[in-house]
Amino acid sequence: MQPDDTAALQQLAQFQQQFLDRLYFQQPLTALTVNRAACGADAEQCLETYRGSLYGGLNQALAEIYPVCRQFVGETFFSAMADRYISRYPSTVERLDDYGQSFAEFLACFEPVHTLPQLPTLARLEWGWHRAFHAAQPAPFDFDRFADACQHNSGGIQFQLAPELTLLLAEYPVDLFWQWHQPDGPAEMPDLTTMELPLLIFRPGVQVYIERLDKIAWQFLQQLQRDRSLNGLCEVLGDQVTPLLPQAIERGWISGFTVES
Amino acid sequence: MTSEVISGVGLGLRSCHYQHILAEQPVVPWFEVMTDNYMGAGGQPHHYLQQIAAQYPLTFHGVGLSLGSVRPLSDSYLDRLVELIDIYQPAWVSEHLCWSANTQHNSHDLLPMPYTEAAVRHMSERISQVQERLGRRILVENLSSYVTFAESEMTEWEYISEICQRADCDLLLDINNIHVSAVNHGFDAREYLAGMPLARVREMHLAGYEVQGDLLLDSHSQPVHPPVWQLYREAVALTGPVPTLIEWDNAIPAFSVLEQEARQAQQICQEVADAA
Ligand SMILES: [Fe+2]
Repeated sequence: MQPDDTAALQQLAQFQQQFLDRLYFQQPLTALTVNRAACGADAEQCLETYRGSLYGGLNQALAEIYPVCRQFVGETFFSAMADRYISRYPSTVERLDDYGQSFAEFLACFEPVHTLPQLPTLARLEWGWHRAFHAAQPAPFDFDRFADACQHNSGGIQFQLAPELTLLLAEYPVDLFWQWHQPDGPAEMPDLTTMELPLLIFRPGVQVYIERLDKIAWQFLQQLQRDRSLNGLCEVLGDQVTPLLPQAIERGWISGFTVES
Repeated sequence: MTSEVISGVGLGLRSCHYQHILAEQPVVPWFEVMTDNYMGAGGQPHHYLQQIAAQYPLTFHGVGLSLGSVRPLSDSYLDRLVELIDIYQPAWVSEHLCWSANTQHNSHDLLPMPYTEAAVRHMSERISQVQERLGRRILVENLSSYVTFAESEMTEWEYISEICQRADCDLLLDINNIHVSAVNHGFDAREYLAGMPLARVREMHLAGYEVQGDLLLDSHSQPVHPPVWQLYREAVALTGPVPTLIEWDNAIPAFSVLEQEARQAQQICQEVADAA
């Protein structure tokens, strides 16, 4: 590469840095000069069109990931709130599907929604749903190979949880709120008073499921998130593993296993 | 799938039409898939796309490759694109002549380049890298734009022609984008068409724009506007019949509205052929 080429590429890089800083944060663009458009729009208007397109696109992405939150606060308020989020958390991800993970965190600190303490939990639920929606389809559980492994090398068994399975210890019955939002959901808005509620979000087939867990199932899945081994599970949960394990496999919470020697 | 299976006027596949397509099996020569909607590992998008791919030819259309970015191409993005090509066997793969991300942030949008020798060189090298990685030629699409830069050294059509020649890639000619940019920047759409490497055009796009203040906005939210139909007629007269796609991405209407747009495009092609 010639020195001229390097300088030209550096200028292009500087332009791309400044252009996105202009769109996201209203920073000045000096690397290149924007012309007044022939149609009459001045440089500011032209740049604002791009800014509007960027914010509009990300706003729409958030609205699709968080439809229940949006219904909760109303479309106009959600859109304004999403714009604030976008300027504080510009996208650093490759795929648009991965944008918006920190929305719940943002809501928890966003002063105007302090009177809606359920909102961050609801956002966590919706993010879990979104992740499960796009998760890989696991291969069917191989029961024969599992029986064989149990007999010959049970100490080496490591379980795989359903891809993108989320455990959410909710402080409000946000699952009811989520159902209420669905087209075929109940007509009455649920009571959202405080209660501790262990929830599981996962996708065993085409549909995403949101399930309430009892205490022991919660412990079982939490333990598997910490340590995938059958040994570890038995050490912590003892005899309770016997009824829980087949249930977890049957329901698709556990999607597979590996055997390590 | 070979590119010969693609002809006539296809439709952009959108998730709100999955059920209708599978239930009614409408006569559509092919569907164009927004590749970025299927970058995820599984779930409903793939569940439906697999069924549609079994019944219709597909083409791939991407928005996330960021061909013009100075930062390196994303290996993970390209790896996933290769996987998707293996699974769905599209007749061809297209991307935009734009950039989306710098080293820190991503706009997930189609951003403009200055038309400079450096940009031509960079863009054509990146297209070559992608073609090498995919083991096939790709189609690149002309953007609609809302800015021009004082530092540009050539016209848009000179810029695109030069890139296509250096990268030896094919062209997706978006007729609506030409009209939108022509109005915004005051150039002659006919001069643009005449200056393009038309022998490389494998596909055309048609879509609807919106008026926003002084600018035309490429919103894909409306029927194709009359001046775009007229420009399409002139483009087809220059190129001969080229597979054409109706794109609609916002305020997406009933499937029958897209079919009506496709019929209109077909009729124009027929009239051009009859007149020739
Ligand atoms: Fe297009």
